[in-house]
Amino acid sequence: MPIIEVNRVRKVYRGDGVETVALRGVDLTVEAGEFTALVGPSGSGKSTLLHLLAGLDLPTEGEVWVGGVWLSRLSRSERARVRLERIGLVFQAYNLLPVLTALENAALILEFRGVPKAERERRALAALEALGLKEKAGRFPRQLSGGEQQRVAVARALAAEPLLILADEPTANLDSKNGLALIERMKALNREQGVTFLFSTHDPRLLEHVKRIVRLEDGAIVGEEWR
Amino acid sequence: MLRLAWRNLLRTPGRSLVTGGVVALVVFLSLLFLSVYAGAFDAFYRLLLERTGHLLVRVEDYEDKTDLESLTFLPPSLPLPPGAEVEGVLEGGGLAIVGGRNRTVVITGMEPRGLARQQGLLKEGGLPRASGEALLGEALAQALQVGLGDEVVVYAPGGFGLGVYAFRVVGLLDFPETHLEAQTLMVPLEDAQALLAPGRVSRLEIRLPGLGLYDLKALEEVKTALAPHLQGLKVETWLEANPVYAALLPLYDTIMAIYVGIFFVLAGLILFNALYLSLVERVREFGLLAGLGLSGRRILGLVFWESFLLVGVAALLGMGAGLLVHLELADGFRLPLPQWMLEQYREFGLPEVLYGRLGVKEVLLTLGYAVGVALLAALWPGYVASRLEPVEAMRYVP
Repeated sequence: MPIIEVNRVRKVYRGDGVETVALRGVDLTVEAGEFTALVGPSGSGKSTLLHLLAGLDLPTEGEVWVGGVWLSRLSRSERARVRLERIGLVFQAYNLLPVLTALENAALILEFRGVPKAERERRALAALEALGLKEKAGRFPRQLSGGEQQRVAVARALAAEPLLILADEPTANLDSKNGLALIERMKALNREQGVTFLFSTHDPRLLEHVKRIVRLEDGAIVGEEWR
Repeated sequence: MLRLAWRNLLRTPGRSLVTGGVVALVVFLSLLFLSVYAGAFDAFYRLLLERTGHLLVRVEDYEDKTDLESLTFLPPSLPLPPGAEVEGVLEGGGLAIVGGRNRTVVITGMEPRGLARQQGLLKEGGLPRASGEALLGEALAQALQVGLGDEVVVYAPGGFGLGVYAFRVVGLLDFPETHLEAQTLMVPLEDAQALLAPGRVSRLEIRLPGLGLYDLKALEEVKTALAPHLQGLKVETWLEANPVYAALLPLYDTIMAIYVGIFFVLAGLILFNALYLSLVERVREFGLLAGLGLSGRRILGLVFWESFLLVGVAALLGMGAGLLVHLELADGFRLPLPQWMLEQYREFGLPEVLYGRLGVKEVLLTLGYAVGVALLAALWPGYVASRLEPVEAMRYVP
């Protein structure tokens, strides 16, 4: 069974009497273990699609299935639970809580799930180690660079051992060196631990590292490429 | 969640300190106020109790009777608890005459202990120590143009005693109520009986040492035990004998709750302001929490935790300080009032030294308000935070 199944999804935003079509009948399937990039120019619908996959928003038409669950059928709180238990999310910016250390941020989802302290710290520390941040576990976000902060966000998603990790332009606020380093870390996790990644980017240099590229333009998938 | 709430409070230490300080101050002032108010309330009731005794025995339907014969009675023997003190009092109307001047007076005959209780009202002179000596209200003395050592003849034709008696003025009394002062004449009980009704009294005052001010249940038990021994007489508790003041007693809790409530409304507004500001500053964080999968209910819970932590710590500090000051007040304190107010206060016979009183009920009332304020102030900010759309919230620019 695919981890992600998107069938004929349309998303229309309405406001001030204006209709904006963000997605026009998108179909997409992602299998477990994939390392897929969504690419396309700004306004192509990448973020909208990721938000629908995370259950942060609902499609106007069509079906979004994640891990065998039809998200549109769920209430707001049920979708929150799906995110908490099955989906790891990495946002473009403002990923961490400034009052918590890197370790506490990485263990946050586990804490929300009610995992005992010792267990969640062990898993969070292992995730930070996998992303090369073990030595900085006790630092607060303000004491970390932008790249390190994004890696902590990935560690937070990883520590929770989700079905898949969705990342919305995770390298957008990083310089090319740090952006590349982050993608390499993500790819290593995909290769070594089998974590499924779907992330959006418009940075062509990162595409050399992905297995599958899905191209979006003007709210529709216009091409796919396997490597 | 608790740790996150605590760290969020510490990120704006100045605001948390000011808000917590206000809550602590309100808790402190509430306890102080409750202690002082209860002390003043007790002093007033103690004075009332001292004046009337715990129980009063009078003829049945005394309110409807007017003639002295039906209003007075021969004191019966009463089965009272050990240590109980019984004092007879005889009251009747008369005319005080000095030369060509005269005034209607209320003659009150009291036993030595009763006369001794007037010491606080004494403005000039001393208490009657022998037969034929009298205390006069100052206003009455002025009306009759008499002073200490002068003689006043009292004519009381309505009784069945001698009907006329001469007294020497030994003391002048200062009452808060001028109309009382203008008709008060206090004399030894035997003199009043000789003048008005030999051997009789119009009331018996029973004092029960050891019985607390509000031990109303025990008082009722003594009253019930006395009832079968009172032929044609009626026994009342001090509160029943003072119905106007008795009506205030049940209002005490309500008045306290309203006063303290006003303090807490103020604290609640300041707390609300702090929580709402904190919400506005952290919209993106709440969006992130919701995005990561924290349910609206748990986000609401986070805001409540912050509110309860802030109020809890502040209330504990305020309560600690309030209880410490109360311990001082419980040993006795003087009201910090200007001299002219204290003089008025004294004129009513109220003691200058009050004793603070704080019960579990008052402490719970204050704590209850603190919890209520924490809950109410967090309700709206918490609700708003819990309803934020994660995507929009994370894009919010403060």
